[in-house]
Amino acid sequence: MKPKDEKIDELLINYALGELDPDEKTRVELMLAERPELMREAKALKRMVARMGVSMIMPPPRVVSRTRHAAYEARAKRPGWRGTFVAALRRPVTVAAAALVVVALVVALVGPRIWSPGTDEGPRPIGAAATVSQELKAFLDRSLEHMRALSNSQAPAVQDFSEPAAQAMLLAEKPGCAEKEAAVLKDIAAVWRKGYERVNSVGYLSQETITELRAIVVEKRLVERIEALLGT
Amino acid sequence: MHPTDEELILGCRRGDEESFDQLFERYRSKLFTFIWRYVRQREAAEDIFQETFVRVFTRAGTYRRRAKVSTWLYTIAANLCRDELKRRKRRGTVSLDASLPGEDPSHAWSLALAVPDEASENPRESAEETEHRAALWRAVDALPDELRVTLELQIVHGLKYREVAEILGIPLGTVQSRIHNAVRLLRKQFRDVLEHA
Repeated sequence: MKPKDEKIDELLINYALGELDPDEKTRVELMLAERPELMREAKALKRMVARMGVSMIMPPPRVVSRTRHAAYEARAKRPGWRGTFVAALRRPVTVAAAALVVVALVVALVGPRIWSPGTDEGPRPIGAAATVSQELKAFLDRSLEHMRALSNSQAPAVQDFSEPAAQAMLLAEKPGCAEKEAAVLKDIAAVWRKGYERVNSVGYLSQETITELRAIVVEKRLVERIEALLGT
Repeated sequence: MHPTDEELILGCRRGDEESFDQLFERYRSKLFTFIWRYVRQREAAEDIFQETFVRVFTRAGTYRRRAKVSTWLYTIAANLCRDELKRRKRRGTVSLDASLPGEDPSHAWSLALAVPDEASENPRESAEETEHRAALWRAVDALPDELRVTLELQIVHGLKYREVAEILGIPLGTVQSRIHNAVRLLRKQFRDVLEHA
């Protein structure tokens, strides 16, 4: 088939399937009025499409009843706001945020009493730097795995993209975070934010989106920069 | 007045069983047909059908208005079907003919003998027309899996190209080329029938 014929053929198929906008439809109908051989073809296609109209298959009654029962039961078992609150507490980001609030309160209340007075470096909260660094390392380890997957055009094993995006921004804004680390974290957050915008209504990431995310990972050299921060 | 799909989803979010029942009634045959045709195995189809509606009721809160409810429902089912086929592939279920690995040999999933929608308007459909319809469906059944599933979403389920793309998680251009190829294959096979009917 010649390219021009192929284009016309595609128009006819789209016409038979009702996929043309009103302007295109009018143009095709004018063309069909002038070319009887195309009119025959369009009619034949429409007939074929009509032949494919069949009644749907009904699920058997036992499946209907089993499905309803399973759905009611699963919905009843779903946690209410208390359960959601407890579940949220189990999430690493929430725990980390709660821990930070507690640390900040402790530092504000008892910090002045345990700081070493009279040193040149000034007061330093005990143990806080180590916690930030461990948390950052754990996050970068996970991010490295995900960015490597994306740079190989594979879907990262992440359920909710808003979560790592938020975690990256939280870490970047922490006082102990170096400028270089913050820049990498902000770029990681940008990848997840883009993923969050593109992901479809049930969390499925299309290959097109993966390609888009991969482009950011490659452009920002995220794998290399994370590896450099981790010293790997 | 009948509630819209969106209103029923809002009801499901609140845990309202009546809203769930109405949504279930609206979509049960469409989704069961889609799932069974996709995986072609009765037991798997029944399990996926159940899991689809369990997810609808338990995850109604994750529905986003930018997609139609019907698209959201089909997407849940399509993702589960895809996972099932991947599992079968990993298990290495081998098929000796052109059929899908692990599918029902009874061909009960086939629509070759299904009743046409307009049967009530035209109860005296000719034997020849019935045979043409059955032959067409046998040809559809023999199409490569990805062409068949894409084509059926558009023709049998009446979804637009854009919705099919969203459901299958593929670009719009891929949907169009799959459907054009599927129609060309079917037309090639039915050239005589189409021209003389």
